Amino acid sequence: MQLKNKQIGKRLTLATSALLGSLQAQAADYWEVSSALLMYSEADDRVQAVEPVLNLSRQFDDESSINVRVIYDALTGSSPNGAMPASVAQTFTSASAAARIEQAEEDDDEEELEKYGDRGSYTIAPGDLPLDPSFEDNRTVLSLGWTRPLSNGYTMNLGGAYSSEGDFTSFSVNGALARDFNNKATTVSLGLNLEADSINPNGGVPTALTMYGAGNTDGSDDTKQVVDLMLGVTQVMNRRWLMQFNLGLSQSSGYQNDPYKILTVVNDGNLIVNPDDPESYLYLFENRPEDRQKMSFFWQNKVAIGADDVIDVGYRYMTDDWSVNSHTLDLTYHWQISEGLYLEPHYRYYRQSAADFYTPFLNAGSEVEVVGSSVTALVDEASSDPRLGAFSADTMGLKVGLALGSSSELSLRYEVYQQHDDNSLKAVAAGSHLDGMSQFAELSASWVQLGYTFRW
Amino acid sequence: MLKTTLVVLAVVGLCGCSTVKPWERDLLAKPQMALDSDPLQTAFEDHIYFSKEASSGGRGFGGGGCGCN
Repeated sequence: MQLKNKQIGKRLTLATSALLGSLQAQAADYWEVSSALLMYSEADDRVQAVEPVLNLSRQFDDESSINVRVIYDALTGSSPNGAMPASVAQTFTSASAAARIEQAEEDDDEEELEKYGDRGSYTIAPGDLPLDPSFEDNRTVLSLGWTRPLSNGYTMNLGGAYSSEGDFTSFSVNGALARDFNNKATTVSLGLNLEADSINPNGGVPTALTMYGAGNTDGSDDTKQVVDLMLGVTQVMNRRWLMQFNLGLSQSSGYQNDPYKILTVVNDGNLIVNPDDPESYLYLFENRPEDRQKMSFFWQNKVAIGADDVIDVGYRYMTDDWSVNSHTLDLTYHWQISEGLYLEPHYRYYRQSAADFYTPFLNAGSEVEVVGSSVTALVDEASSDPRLGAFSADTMGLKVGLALGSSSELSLRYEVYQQHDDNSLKAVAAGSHLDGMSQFAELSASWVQLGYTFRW
Repeated sequence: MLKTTLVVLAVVGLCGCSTVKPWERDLLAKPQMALDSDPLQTAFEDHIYFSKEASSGGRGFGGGGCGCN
């Protein structure tokens, strides 16, 4: 019983650790090794990713613990460039591919040239969603966590993470202090995370709301800083019910744009020939506010059913000063079929409203002034990034877990994700290039996750 | 929003005098009752949804960031 008491104490402490996105060290005197492989795939030849993860954690005699995690992420495929589908063919020159080709020519790298040679510019057929086929990146993440009990029921948690991609680097440090009350039935925690990002887009940082293709840049790189504060309460409600409640505040400042996203500019629904290049049409680079404040409310319940089954119900509400409000409901049932076998059906519902500067395209006259070869945006911010649009999404999945002996487990999970457009249509003139074209690309994706955990 | 927060905190506070004795915590100690019973799965999901939706966080800090073009 003492052991059980200690274990639940640890779990509550770990609930706090979860605040830091760090550890789940659960046992003494050995390393717990968790490994997993994610294979993620989007429909219509969009993004494909392969992501292996290795996590090592160890608990020491003084009940302190450390956690080390390494993630590698290989991404390929096509990503929407932000332009609208139209009833005529559209040719784009990929800034990212063009920069890579230029670099490869400088380095005399024939292998790279061959890879990108035919993808420097791409043409999208009438009616098709403009996808940039040169999307390719690798991401490596290293994160560390350290938890240590202090006196008087306090626990301290410190951590850090470093993440690097071809055009993006992120560094973060975090700390949290938790305190147990009521014989460890209640844990209150407060955590702080500081993140510094550096963005160096292929081809430089495009000047916001200027013509795509003109090549105007504001230097080669930019930065972003994020501060997150989180207050958490974990409560044992009764013998079968554990609850967690988190309140999160986040302040992000700096470069928030997606440097590869553009917006179509139309005149009464018709594409406008680029004043500088008669072979292409007029598009502008997007622009977002430099600051973003978010607040989130997260409530999770774990309820034991019978001897081994568990219902997990989570709800999150998020709101920010870009007018995005979202609701997320997450349901999982842990069905223990036998001692060594379980199934976990899962359903997630998500719904968000659009950012106030989200728009599928820009209208010449009211939103962009086009006079000869002079193009001036009349709006301060605009983005057609579908992530900022209004949509709902369903995720359904099933996980199967198999115990291999007393200290190792193999699991396989399959999930399917589908977005549904909730945006109101922006008016277009009948018979124009944009008439009848989809204004929001609903994403369909699926992923398989293979996991293996053992003690060493 | 703030009101909701205060109400929930008050409810949690009232339930603070939990009568669950240590020897009644057998169910709560099971791995499937952990609030984050598969942290790697949570990390994958956080990354996927961060890349495709405008919301993130709630459960914890992401850590590591993402360009996510």
